[in-house]
Amino acid sequence: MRGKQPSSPIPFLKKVQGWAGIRTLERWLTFTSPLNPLSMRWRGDLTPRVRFTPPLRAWREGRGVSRFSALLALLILLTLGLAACGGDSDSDSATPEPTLPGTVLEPPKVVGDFTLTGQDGAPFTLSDLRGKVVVLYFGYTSCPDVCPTTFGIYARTAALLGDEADSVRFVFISVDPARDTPERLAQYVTAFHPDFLAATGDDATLRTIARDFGVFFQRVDYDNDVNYLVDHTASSFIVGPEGNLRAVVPYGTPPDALARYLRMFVGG
Amino acid sequence: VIMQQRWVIVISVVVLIVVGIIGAALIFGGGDNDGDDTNDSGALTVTEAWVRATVGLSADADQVTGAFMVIENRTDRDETLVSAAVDPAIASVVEIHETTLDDNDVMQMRPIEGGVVVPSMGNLVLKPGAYHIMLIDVQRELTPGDMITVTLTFESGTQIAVEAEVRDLGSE
Repeated sequence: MRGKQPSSPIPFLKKVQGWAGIRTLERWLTFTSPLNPLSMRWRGDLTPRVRFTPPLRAWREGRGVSRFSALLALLILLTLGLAACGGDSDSDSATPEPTLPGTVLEPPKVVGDFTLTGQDGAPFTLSDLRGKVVVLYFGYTSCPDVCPTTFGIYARTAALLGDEADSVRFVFISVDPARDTPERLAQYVTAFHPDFLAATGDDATLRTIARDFGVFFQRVDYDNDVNYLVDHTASSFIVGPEGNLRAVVPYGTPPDALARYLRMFVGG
Repeated sequence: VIMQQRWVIVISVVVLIVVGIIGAALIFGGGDNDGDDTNDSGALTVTEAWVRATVGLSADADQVTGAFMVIENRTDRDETLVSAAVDPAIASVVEIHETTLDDNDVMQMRPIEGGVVVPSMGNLVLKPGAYHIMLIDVQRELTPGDMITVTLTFESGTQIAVEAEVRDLGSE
């Protein structure tokens, strides 16, 4: 068998037939594969007719032909591996508990109580919401972008929570009191959801709260007579029913992940 | 008999490689062809244009909102979006802004200096958390379903008038 070239059933393969890389690989497959119905081993013929060189040793010994066959084997394994990975990532979305984005504070951080002016013009005190999970967001209504996107997410989160939304309060704290009057805040938050709350206060009070929660905000004036901008932290701050800061969740966290956070803290 | 089974194996190995390569191409290259059918070749087009609704319009407060869209450049040269405009009866000032978020999740929004490049055979996505067209000093309440014409001007002199639909306040 070694000295004689078998003739190909397909003319094109006559060329390939002399391609020792493929032949080495093919011998290897024929001899080793227990699942191959044509395998010599399967047929009980345990005498190897060609000497099999494992791919790694073939590579080290460095004969061009062996290197080629080792590369070919590697290529096939890689392709199959990648195909398997591709299939896996499709099923990931179906797995029940993916990692939540954000940080759970363990132990919870003690935060000071505060009083601001609510959207109805009456005092808004954090401790009045004891027993509820409170989601705090620090923003401003003249924000075209991340603030309304976040409150859109909150509205969808509240819908996902169903009856449990009763145990949760979503609060917009404006860091732009110069423009965000209580009336404007009321119109703004209730446009997202009738039960959403909003509050603001003087700069000193807002600074104290921001320091406590680790929130940054800063007014930015630029070359424009009718507008200014406010840089601000875009995370959501989750306060547990006992009044401590329990988790900080980044901008863009989708409703299902946020709902899982809130369910985690409802009832303790 | 042995010769025949050799060829069966050689052919199956070749088929396996071909299938693997096609599979890999499908997995990794799948996204590249998106949108090819919907665009005239050699053109600058805009799709998915929308404007965020406004609430709480009052005389003393400067109302702002954002316009978002996808600009596709199927021409053979880069284009630069330099300005945008709407009817002054809608908003008196229009700017192009970029939103960025740093590692601490601090959001910064800044007007763009000198325009934004739409690369040749590529696109520019205006979306929340990235670029947007900022409508400032909005003159009337914009409610979902309204249509607003946004005119984009590029450095080359090309102008495109886009019909943008007003969408719900909480749209992403």
